[in-house]
Amino acid sequence: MIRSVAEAGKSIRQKRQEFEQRMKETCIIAVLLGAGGKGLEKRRNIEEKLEKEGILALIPEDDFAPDVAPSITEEVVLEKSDVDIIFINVESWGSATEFGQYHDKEGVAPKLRILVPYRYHPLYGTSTGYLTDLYLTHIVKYGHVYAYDDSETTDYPTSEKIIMKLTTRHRLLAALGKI
Amino acid sequence: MDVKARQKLKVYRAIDNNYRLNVLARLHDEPDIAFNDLAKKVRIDRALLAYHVGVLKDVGLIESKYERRSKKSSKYRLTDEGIKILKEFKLVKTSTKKEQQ
Repeated sequence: MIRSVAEAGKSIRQKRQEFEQRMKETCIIAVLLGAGGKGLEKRRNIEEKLEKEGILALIPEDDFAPDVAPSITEEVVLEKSDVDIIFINVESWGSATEFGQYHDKEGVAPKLRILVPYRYHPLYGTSTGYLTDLYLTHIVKYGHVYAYDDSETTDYPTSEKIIMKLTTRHRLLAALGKI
Repeated sequence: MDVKARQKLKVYRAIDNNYRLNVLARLHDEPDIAFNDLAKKVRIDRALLAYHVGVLKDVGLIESKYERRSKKSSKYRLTDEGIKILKEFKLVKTSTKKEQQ
């Protein structure tokens, strides 16, 4: 007998829940936004590590269908899909624009995890940029603005360490039903 | 947790979504369907479809080819794994021994 999509959906949900209870783990979907070039390479490395950890990690430029421009896809996806967590590494004009675009969007903002080079972080940094005030507002309203140092010359963690730690803890809390 | 169990969890997560299930069922009926036609058939915003096919591709249930000649367009089809999962959840007919022969 062939099932309808709705019937199959129920059966899949049940099987998934049974499997998750047995394994005491779940799978979350993470989206990695950031700069192109070296930034993209860095995201690809992180994506590979997340995938090994059992996290479904997506980079729009690589993973979303190329038939639609990533900038158009991102906005719809972040608002209307089942993505659990979104990292924006603010390291270019493009990613700064993305942060500006999503920072206060209902439905997207609570899922955002903003990664900022420590020099520009409103609490720990000394440099002030045009985004510093926006970061501070975001911290007060939603939290989740993290200082990083990818040169590893200070005590700040690297962006990779932050993403791995936050994602694996998010998954644990999701498995326990606390998120 | 072992790699296989985690992969299975990923697949369950990926297919626990009616849009994505619809995409899989449609690809079973029409292999090598173009992206725009797929969007029309499953009645979904193209931007959202770009994400859902990305998820299905990530877990290895579908594959695509992107043609740059003339009008750029991706075409999608199920992988063996994709066909297997549709059979597991009885979304398509499981072939009988007689049919397999």
